[in-house]
Amino acid sequence: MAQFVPGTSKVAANRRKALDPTKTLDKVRDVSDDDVVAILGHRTPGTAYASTHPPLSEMGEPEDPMRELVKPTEGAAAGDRIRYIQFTDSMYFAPMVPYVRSWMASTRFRGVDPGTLSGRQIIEARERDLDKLSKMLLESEAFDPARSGVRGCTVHGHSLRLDQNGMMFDMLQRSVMNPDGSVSIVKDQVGRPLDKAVPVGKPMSDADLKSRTTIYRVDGEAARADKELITYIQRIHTLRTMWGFKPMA
Amino acid sequence: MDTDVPDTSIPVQIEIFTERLLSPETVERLVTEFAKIEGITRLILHGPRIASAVPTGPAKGTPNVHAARRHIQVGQQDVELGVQVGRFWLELEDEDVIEQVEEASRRILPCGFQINRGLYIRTRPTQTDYAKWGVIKDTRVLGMTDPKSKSRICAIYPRER
Repeated sequence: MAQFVPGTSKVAANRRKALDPTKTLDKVRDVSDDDVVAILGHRTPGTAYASTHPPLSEMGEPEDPMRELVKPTEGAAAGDRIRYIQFTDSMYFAPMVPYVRSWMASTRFRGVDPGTLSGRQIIEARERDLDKLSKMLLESEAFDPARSGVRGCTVHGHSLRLDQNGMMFDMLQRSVMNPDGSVSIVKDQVGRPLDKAVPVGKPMSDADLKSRTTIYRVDGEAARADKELITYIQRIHTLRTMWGFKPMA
Repeated sequence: MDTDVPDTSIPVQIEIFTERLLSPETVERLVTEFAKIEGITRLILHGPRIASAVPTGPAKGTPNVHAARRHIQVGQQDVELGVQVGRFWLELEDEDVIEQVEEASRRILPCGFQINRGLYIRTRPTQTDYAKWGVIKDTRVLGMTDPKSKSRICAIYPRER
């Protein structure tokens, strides 16, 4: 059985749940296919996928055992463009932390190129593959309307205090809180206004966020309080320090 | 020898650090309260910037519609907020005013806050100040503007003060 992350804490269990592709993330909202396309902003909803090369079946590829072994994804087979989705997660108990998002993309999806930066996380993929994985992520517990954001640019907010209403700061205000407490996405990920707002439901409560988060925090579950985690980190640190990338111990 | 003599040349400056970034309505109410307190000489609103136009990406240059970027009314003055306020820097005439400021903050703010004592607004001109403005006679304007900004300083009750 694959081992993902050590730890006996709830946070470690959440991380294992996120990374283990055999486990299904809870679905907490519905976002239509067209709304996902609108939020991503790469093409107009309803239009055909643009391609960057002909379908692989028409290209007459040379015989290659690896090509036989590794089947192309749907988007790669169709010759789609490579496009991206980028998330920002607040450090205030957002469901995901950028590194876990990248690890999760690597373990759950094929044909993706995840990248982690200080306060944001990008996943690049063929366009129709991206649409599917974006929908899955936006509808799942890995996304919270208040503490997570889909932000292609001007991503600042991850490490800032929350707004008065509990939303993560966003200079472009891509999501707004409605008077009833629910949240709607009103701009695409690069800040262009959407034709119609996309409702994404109410933000999770603090208790719910704390039970689902993958972030270790001193005011939540501290990493140092998880003895198993610390034991493994210290062991890896010792092995790396003493023997580099080829530990013989 | 008693070395604990307060230096009267160092102004009394405080920072109100709020637990949340505030809405313009809360800022308007709090600054209006501050305007009623005698003894606040200077005040700066600080927080992450909210640009008037999208600064980067494919939508660069298009207007940035943001609820926190709006005008607030303080006394008779109209102030355009270009930041989402998370800190207030105040210069006071004396330490007695701190209590009034704390009381007003406790009454208005919907979240917790800290009041820190320190030096937040500069008291001496920098080389950049000299290059931009020359010799500054009224030292109250020192440090009151962002050197990169074209915004003006807001003076409440300019005739009386």
